[in-house]
Amino acid sequence: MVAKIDLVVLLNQPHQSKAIALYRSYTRWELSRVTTAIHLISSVPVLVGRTSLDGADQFVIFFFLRSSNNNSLSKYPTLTVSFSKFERETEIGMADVEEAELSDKQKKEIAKWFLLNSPAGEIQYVSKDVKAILNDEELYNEAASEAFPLYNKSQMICLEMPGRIGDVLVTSFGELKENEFLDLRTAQVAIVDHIKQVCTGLRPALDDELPSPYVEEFRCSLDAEILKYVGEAYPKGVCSVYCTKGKDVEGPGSDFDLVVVISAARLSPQNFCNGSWRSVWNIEFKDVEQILELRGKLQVGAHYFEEGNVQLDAKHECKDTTVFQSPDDCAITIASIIRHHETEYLASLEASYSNLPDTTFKDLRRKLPVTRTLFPWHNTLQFNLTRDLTKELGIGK
Amino acid sequence: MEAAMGLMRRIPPKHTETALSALLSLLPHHSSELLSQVDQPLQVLCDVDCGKEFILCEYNRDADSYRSPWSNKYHPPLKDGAFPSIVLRKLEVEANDIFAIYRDQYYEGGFSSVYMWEDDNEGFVACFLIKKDGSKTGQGRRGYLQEGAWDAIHVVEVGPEEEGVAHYCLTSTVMLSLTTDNGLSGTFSLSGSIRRQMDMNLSVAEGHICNMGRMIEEMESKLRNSLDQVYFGKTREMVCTLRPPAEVVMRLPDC
Repeated sequence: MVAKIDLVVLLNQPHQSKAIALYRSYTRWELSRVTTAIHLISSVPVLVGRTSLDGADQFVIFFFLRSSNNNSLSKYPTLTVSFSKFERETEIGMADVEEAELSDKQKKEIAKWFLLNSPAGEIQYVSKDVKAILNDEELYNEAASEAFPLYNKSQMICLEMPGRIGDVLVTSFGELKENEFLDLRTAQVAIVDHIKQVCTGLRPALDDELPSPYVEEFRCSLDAEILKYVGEAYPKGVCSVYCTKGKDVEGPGSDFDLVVVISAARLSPQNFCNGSWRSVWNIEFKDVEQILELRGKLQVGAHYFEEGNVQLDAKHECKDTTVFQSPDDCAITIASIIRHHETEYLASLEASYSNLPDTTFKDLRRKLPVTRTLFPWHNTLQFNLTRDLTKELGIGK
Repeated sequence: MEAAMGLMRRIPPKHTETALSALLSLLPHHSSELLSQVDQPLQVLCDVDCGKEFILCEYNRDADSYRSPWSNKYHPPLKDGAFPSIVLRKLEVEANDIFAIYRDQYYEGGFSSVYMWEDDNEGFVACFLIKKDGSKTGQGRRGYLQEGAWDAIHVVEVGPEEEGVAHYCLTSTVMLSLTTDNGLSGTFSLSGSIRRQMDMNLSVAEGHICNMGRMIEEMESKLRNSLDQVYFGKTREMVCTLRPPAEVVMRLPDC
């Protein structure tokens, strides 16, 4: 039964870009491998079936695509592929050579996928499992060394700097080299071990790594205001302000950008619960127009896993503008805008939660049947009649 | 295997399918174990004989074909596929009809399928499946959900009848995901899966379907409640620990 179907299929749906699937062989486990390949390429869930009709060399492959905007499955045109005996024999010969395990590269990609999809604060647990499954130290180390830096930056993890001088955030805004992250508050550069998730050393920041005195004045006042706000609003919040554009601007007349990062994580694995809040605020200081443009990206995640696995993933983006003022006034205005939007966002999260039981959830499953009484299991026949009647008369519902 | 199950507890539930196929390809020799222990979102196929949809799962699969409860035929056609006995098939037909009404009452749409088969110790096993797409474009009547899916798998092991009483063991899994998206508050997405068991000795006077049905109804309500209250409640609590809403009360007047 070892045959190889080496078939490149172009899946084209109006709402999906192209996905390319390679069908290599038709045992079930091979098919699951194909499914993985498609997921990794396109994140299109696909179900594949096959059959051999009347012993003839003919296979039928089914495609199911889940469209991106609704969850329903639609049957994709069935593909029928015929093979002559001769072809099959040739294929067997080739299959023997190529039918080996997944390539190391594929394995590494899968390992990275698992690592990068770890919930907040759980990559260390995930990495233990991934290591056990891969059972290949070298391959695991390669995957980890690629995945950890990406994960740490996207989660914006916070590490304690040696000498109790404070915490440094691992973000792409403060990244100088892969393992060097700038902390402007202390003008230090933290040397980071991504896999152990610790800060191993420090060096003073060089002059050309720091913003000009003009920009620094704005940055520093903003940092102080944000620090105050985060201290009040987030019990475990850490924040940082970076300059991402125009850090060498010497005085009025040119534009520059500051970025405010707020990261708060709460990890309590003993209570089976972890969560994180991340906000990134980009502020464009537009000199000619004399305005500031703010763009915020907020992301909240939570994971509860006692006898189950439930995760929240919420994202929000918002915008605001204000006028260009002195560094101190800018800082106060920006901090109050951020406070306002984040407070509103929290309230809208609360509202989403309160809407769950009565409205949202009802579209999935009602608490009670439409009849508002438990289902009459003992009397279904009679019930069936009543139901037909109500339907006919167009009443109920 | 233990590590694989560990990963499945941590990977976001909306990525279950991807994670499972990734594990299957990394651990091909554990494939049957993985497929039986990891619940994956249900898929639906149309029965070409009667034009009705049926649900696919491990329990109606033989080789790479799936048996429809409506026509009792394998899709795609399969030679020598396994079938339940005539007596059990009769019960299966009845269960499918009744369960479809139950599903309609609670879910206002969706798909359901019931499969039964004999087990080794003179009893039988029944698997009740429900799939509901509650999204705006699916069957969500109220239109709150951008994306919403509820998949329920109930497996009931029924022991042999002794003095008018049978032992029922129900294992239920609910997989759920929902996303709301309104311009003001961005996307809000919750997904999860939970599994519970229930054991009961019941008189068979009213029939197996009646007994299994009541157990499933009770279990579904319990699961819905725990998802709603406990699981979603816990993530809500987490959000409030990250950024306590006391702030809302204190600060709102300022804005």
